[in-house]
Amino acid sequence: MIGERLELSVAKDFSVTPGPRLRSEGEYSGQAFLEDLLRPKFVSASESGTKLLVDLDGVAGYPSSFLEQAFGGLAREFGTERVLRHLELVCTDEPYITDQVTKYIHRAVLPK
Amino acid sequence: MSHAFFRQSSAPERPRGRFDFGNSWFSIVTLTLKKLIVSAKWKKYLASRQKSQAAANARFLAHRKIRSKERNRRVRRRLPKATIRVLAPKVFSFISNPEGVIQFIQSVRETSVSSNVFVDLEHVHGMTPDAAAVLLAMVQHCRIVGVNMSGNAPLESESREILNNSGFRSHVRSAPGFRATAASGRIGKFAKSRETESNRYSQELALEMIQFATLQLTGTVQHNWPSYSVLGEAMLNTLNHAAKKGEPKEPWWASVYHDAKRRRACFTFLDQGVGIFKSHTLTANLKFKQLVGLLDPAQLLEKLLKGEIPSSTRIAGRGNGLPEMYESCKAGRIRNLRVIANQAYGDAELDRYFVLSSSFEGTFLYWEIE
Repeated sequence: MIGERLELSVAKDFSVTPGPRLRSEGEYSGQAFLEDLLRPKFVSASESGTKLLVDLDGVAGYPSSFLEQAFGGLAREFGTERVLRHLELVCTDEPYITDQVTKYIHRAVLPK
Repeated sequence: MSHAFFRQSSAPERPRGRFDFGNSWFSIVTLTLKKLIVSAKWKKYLASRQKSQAAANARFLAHRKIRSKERNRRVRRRLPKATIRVLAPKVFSFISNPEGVIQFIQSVRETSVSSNVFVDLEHVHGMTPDAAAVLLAMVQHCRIVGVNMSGNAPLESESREILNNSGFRSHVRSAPGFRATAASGRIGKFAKSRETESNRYSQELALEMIQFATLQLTGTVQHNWPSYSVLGEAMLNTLNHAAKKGEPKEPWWASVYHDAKRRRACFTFLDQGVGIFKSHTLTANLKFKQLVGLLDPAQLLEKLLKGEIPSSTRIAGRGNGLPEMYESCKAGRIRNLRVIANQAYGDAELDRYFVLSSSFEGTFLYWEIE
């Protein structure tokens, strides 16, 4: 199935200063990113059989809690395999971040 | 016909009733009033008036109590407190002399219970930038408990420069005639007294510190992702875990200092909460090992940093903050990471961990970037 790839940029579509894990902890949280942007776009990409490209460049940095809540949360909801099949990450500023996110996706525990 | 002194009334006799007082106006009014008082509506009105009067009396008494408390407090404030001198450790450095600094903190806390504090820094040699954050945390503590804290500056030039240029002076009142030189450091804080929703997690403060550091190091404003991550995780840990039970959020202090000689920016993060080990709920197995002495605080800290202990929340995906800091240090993205919490001291770069003889009630993080 070949379809147009969907794109999502954290810096342009969300914030240049990613924040804490939960909405209750502060602004631009991982939870807000997951619920407001990442999940809807991922669902679109997944249902149309394409990939969602997430551009992680251009921000001030990523607290690990933000990344885990966003991407680990996505994997807990949709499953590790499905997320890895339909998600592509780009980070030229600090390439180690993509490994970190992949690790969180693999380690995400599905709710029982 | 004889005139009599009295005359018998010639009016006909009227039948006598219960409230019959004759024809007088007074008797009519009294009769009416009595009928009103005993009726249900009047009783209800009287009861309501009694209630509101009782409430007004209670308000008045409460107000009087508050006024007298304020008066007593004002009188108490006017009573002068003695000022006691507390000697700072000669090596005023949390990273090189944690035992000395912990003892200093304890001395200040004990002294501040009943007296003002004067911190004697004159003899200090080998002060490091993290000490400025410690001093400010002590100033904050004294302010909270209602005593004054003052002090002098080190005589040794290098230590004096660190104290004056670290950003410490922008948080305290300096002696008249003091002239500030160009700052090599910044100190930011989140304090109970200025708690707002917007600065509970302050990515703006983290950004400001990192931009200051990179500007000093490279001449241009840049991002530093590892430091942003460490600062963010440190703030989160403090906000979620450091507070004592029943207390509002714990204040924290973050500082950055540009060490021109070593060409490094030195970051410090400090809170005086309960510390990692008092807030962390260990698994039953680890708790047992700790109880029987098979696991000491230093070993626990090592396990926490290496990600071998699950998060105290037991929620999936949690507990990555400290392990990510450790990994960043091992990968060389940050340097010289030190962690002090309760009785444990950890040097992540050299993988050295030891138990302190005194306990630090709080968490201290230190790292550098080049």
